[in-house]
Amino acid sequence: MSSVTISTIISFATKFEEDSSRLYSKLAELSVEKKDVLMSFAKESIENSLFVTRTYRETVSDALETSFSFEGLDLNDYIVETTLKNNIDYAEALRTAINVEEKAINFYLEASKRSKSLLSTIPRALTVVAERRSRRKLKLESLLSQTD
Amino acid sequence: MYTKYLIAQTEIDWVGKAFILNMIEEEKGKRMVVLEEPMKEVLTLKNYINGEWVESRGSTINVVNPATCKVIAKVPLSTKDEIDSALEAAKRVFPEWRRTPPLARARCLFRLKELMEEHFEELSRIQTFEHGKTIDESRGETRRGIENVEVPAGVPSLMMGYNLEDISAGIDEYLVRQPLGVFGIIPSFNFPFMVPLWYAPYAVSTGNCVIVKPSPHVPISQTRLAELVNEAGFPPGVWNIVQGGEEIATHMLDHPDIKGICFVGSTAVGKNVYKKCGETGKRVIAQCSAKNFLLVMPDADLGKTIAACMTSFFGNTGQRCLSGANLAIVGDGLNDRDYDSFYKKVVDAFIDAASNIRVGYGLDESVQMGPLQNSDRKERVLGLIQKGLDEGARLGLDGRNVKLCGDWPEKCFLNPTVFEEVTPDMTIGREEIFGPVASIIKARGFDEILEMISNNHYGNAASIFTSSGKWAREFQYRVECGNIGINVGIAAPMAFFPFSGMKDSFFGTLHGQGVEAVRFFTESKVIIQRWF
Repeated sequence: MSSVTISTIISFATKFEEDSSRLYSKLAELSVEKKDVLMSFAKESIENSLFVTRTYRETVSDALETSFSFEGLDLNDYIVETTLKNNIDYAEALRTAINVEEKAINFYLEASKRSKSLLSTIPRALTVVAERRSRRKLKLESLLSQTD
Repeated sequence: MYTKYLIAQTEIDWVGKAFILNMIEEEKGKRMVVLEEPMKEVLTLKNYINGEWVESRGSTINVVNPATCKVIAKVPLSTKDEIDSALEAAKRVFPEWRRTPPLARARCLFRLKELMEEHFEELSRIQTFEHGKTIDESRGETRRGIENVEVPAGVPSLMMGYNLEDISAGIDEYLVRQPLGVFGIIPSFNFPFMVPLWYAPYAVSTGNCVIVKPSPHVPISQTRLAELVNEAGFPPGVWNIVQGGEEIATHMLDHPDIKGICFVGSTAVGKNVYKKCGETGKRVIAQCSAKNFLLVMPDADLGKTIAACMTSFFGNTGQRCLSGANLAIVGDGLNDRDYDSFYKKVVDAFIDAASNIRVGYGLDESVQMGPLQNSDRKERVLGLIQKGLDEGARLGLDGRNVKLCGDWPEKCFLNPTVFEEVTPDMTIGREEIFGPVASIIKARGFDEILEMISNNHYGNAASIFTSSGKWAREFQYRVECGNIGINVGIAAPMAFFPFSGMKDSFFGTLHGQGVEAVRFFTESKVIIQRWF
């Protein structure tokens, strides 16, 4: 069974947020009307990244099971395309973003579940980001419905 | 000063791609990401005396990264004169520093804490670089170090005395705590950043001055910390670093002007430190070796217990005084058949988990265990493994067949090793190994295992894994160890609690960290007052 260190989880989360931020910055270029809301998602991803990193750094302890807490978690399950193809239309780009959000939500919830043996702030931070991503997904679905 | 050779802090974004040195495709197609090393050049470290970086006149020895076997720095073996010079500086500034208001002293610690947060990742990478531990472990160590700066920053409250009016007609009595002078800190190699911080921040916050002599095997962390101390604005002479080995450590022990010593290391040396401090009237905290038992009771949650055991036995490559050493599988209340089945279940799960631990360079984020700190330590552990075999124990998992994630020299590496059929009279059941070796002991009864622990001459830590409150309470009540874990594999006290220890694991009275450290570094003066 594969094991993943928390350091790897945090790096993965941060990379996920950086890529997501770039995705929304690009997506914002496709809709003048919805630019503000899409840019707010880009900004939120950077905040998520800082939030998760800060929480990890403030609670990591050499005495806890930081290297052994994510048994069986396979990060390959959460790898998703976050770059938008050239000449992609706005609706297709929204669908890509919704797909990214689904993966992100699943990743954060699973990582949160598996990090219960760490200090409570870590699973809580991961859950908070999953909730933010869930709200974002709902908003994206609403934006997509407006394109029909 | 070597700071300039470090990566400029503003560039540090530990998750950023800029820090990925290389991506190596492993056989299984997994990616190994090695974070960038924190130093680029081999530097000769200096002493930090009286707020200045001073070149030592002593000869130098190499500091070696145990994962890559590359020389990463040169550390001087300073001379007695250099200790004397640090001591003179500390004595000179002491009267002024002790008169500095506690809140002003605390503000130096606030600034230091901010600098440590700012340089968090760099400090962590240095620990992995010079010690070999995994980056997660180093970050954990950095956090624990910072916590030991945060706690004594509350010195205005922690240092308060107490009073009582009218102990007799018109007479009041009160107690004040006063600093003593200069303290020496002689830390171990296994936590190069954190261990001196169990003491130094408490000492200086209460108005004392310190001389830290880092372990010559891992001197870079304390050197970098001293740069931050300097930046935080401590007056020159309050916090000094003198690099070196045994000779200057002995000089510190003998010197009448050093008021106390904080030592972390082996019991053999700790006993000598305690004796010498007694001869010269010094206060002493000597935290020493250990042989920690972890009990698995039949009602333990096995999955969580095994995860906790992996960190306990193999975290920091087994090189910590709180590491699990003996895994006692206790069959209290079970008949022979049920005990055999329970024993097999625990051992199989333990060995399976241990055999899956990824061993490699600690700057590879996926690695769960790094190398031993140097090749001599590996040789010592190999010798003890052989001794275990000679005395009749059986290897359930042989870590001598080194398997690494990545192409690193094997010189300091061992994989997790598990012995079965260990008895407490065997060397490996009795003495500290300080490496990634677990000894599994059969114990049919709860009382039997408590007696084994009691008969062992160490008393640093012990843990029990159980769902029974009764067993847990009996355990914590009766076991003769200073740090107790209940369903916790590493019973590491937080900065606001003392780091305890008993029997041959501790020599002294008051412990490091928390309120006890404040008491250690202060004299209680009682005043009885009447006004005519």
